[in-house]
Amino acid sequence: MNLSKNEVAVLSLLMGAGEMYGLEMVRKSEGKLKLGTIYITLSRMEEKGHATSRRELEPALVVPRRLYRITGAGATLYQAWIAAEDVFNSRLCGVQHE
Amino acid sequence: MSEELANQKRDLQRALNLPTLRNEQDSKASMQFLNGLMDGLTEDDLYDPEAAHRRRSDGWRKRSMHTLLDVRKWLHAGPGNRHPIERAPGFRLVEVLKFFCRRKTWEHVIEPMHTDFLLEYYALLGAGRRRKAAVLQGQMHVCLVYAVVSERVLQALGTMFTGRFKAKPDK
Repeated sequence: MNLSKNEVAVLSLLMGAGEMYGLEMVRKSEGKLKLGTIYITLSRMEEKGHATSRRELEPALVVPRRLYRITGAGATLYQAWIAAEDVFNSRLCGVQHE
Repeated sequence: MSEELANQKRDLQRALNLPTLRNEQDSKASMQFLNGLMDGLTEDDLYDPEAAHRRRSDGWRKRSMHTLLDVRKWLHAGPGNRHPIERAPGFRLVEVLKFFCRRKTWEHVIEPMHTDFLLEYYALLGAGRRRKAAVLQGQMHVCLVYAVVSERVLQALGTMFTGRFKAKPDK
């Protein structure tokens, strides 16, 4: 289980929402994610099988956006990550995850 | 006096080879047309048809110059009065990068990144923040190039690394 900061931020955003596109994630991440690197992170996550994507079929857009959705493996990994983080924090300084 | 002026106008019209209208002698519209033309001419032109010709050819020269400039503008910007915003930023770079990156990188990184940058760019322009929009445009170019270069470089490094440690049957 090896997740980068960006990957954890993306997974936490995708866990709460159904489908999101890159710019939406950047706006909701409050500065954690950057527009220049998010798609590289997302493509890497897609290769690992943590997220899936599809092209948005909206005729109003000249260039279609790509919508991302978390997979079952991604959700499981995120929950395991949170649990591991909880254990680490509680052992280190007694802080529990909210 | 008025008859003399009418004769002068007729002579002038003949000298300038103006288009002849039907019932021109009696038509009020044609007289107004000629009067309007004469307002733009000096008194000398009435008595000197060659000077009127010269003025007319100067006008044609100016008009042809304007036409030439219009053609040059058209060649530069494309047909019609195109607004500069119609040429979206980054499109040319994206077309160039398309040749260098894989199809997967193009579909999963370059295209959505470009779309999002454009949406953000137009939102900033709509809010009147032109300087921030210009900064974002530069950032978009850098990010697009970085995405392709990093992918290619990482791919090359990965190939080198795996090739270095690949098991060889004869050794």
